[in-house]
Amino acid sequence: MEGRPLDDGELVRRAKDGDLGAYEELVRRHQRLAQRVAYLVAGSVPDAQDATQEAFVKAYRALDRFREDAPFRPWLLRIVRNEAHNRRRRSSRQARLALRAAEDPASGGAAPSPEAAVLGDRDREALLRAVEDLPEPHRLVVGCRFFLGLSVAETARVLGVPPGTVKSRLHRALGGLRERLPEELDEEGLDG
Amino acid sequence: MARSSDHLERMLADLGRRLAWPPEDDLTPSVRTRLEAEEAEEAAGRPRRWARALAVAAVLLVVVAGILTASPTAREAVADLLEMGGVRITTGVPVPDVPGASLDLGEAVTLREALARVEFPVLVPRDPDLGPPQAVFHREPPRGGQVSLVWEARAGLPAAPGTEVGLLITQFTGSLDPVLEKVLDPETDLEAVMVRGERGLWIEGAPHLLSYLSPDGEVLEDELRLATNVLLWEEEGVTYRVESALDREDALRIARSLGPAR
Repeated sequence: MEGRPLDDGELVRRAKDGDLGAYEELVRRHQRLAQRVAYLVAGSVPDAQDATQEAFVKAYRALDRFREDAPFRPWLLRIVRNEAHNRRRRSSRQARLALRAAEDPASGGAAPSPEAAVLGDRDREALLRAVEDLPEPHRLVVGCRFFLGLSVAETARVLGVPPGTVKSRLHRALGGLRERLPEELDEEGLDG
Repeated sequence: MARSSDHLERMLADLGRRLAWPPEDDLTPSVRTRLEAEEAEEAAGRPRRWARALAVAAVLLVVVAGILTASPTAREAVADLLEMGGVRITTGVPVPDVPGASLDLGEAVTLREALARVEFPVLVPRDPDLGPPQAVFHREPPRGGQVSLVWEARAGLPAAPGTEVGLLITQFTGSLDPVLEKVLDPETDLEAVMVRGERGLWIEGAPHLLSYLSPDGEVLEDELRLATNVLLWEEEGVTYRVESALDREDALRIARSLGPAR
């Protein structure tokens, strides 16, 4: 039994040799983020879970072509994104994100920031709706960067666009949000 | 408006930390079950290496008809791409009979015109034996344009079956969808190769259809023009295809010699 957790590269190496247990560990490690990416793209929970499962299966089959010293996660998330995208196109369901902001910061899993004390739930909901209403390419970059905490480089890899495109889409997305929510962005009394 | 932008970004980051995501499923059992079932099937049938090669071939060759009917824009784009026919008539000026004219590559233009029409850097081979292309074509869609360079068949550059073309190099913005659906051509053999620092694919056995992603994330199809071998890879958001009857090493040599058109 291993004493230390293996890094992704080592797990990939073993999985390429047919070690399904190693691949299972990769699934366990990345499935939460993968399902969230899928949900952002597909807009429905069943589609997101289907897409993620299929993506993991396809990624395993495609491991032959994957260079084990390359980062596994962005490559995997790219596949997840594609699967979710395909499902969204095929689905007749009205795909609509229905994210909620947790009222209690503790259930969100992080310490409250200074803004948290001041931003009302109403404002947060309004911002969330505004993001959900963004055109898809903008919604996805905002989601990847701010909701999933992916870097510009990883966002670019996942969405299959150059990093410059990620930055310009973000810029336009933020502009769109600002236009839509001028009151919520009123900074009076917020900056100290 | 830097302050306002920072503020909005902080709000978004804060919102991101507080999101109540739908609960995730544990997918490990179902993934494991599927992989085990597939391995069992493979063990029972073909030898594993070949089965894997086929599975990897399935990665590239695609029928996405169901997906495409969902969106009128995608449908239109595909209909355009798959349009087979004779020479496309674009102006009243008679076009001389250039090699590749029957391949539905778009409008015959000069290299300079092609460079002016697209925003991505067009690459040309610097291989001294090859020389400049005998014909250059431009078409749109795909969005962003596609440039095709054609060389006539000659000694050392065998003709693709049914044509007078020895070498076809195509380039367009779009990325290779890394994992796609169904194998169209079971005789096709596919191999991963390194091309100019990128992971590319070498396909032998006359594949017919390729699927790729446009920069906007639409899945589009393109039918390969020559029933020959294909070397393809993606560099900086541009996909390159080298179609010829040459073997892998020669195709790679040509690919490596590509540089910006002067």
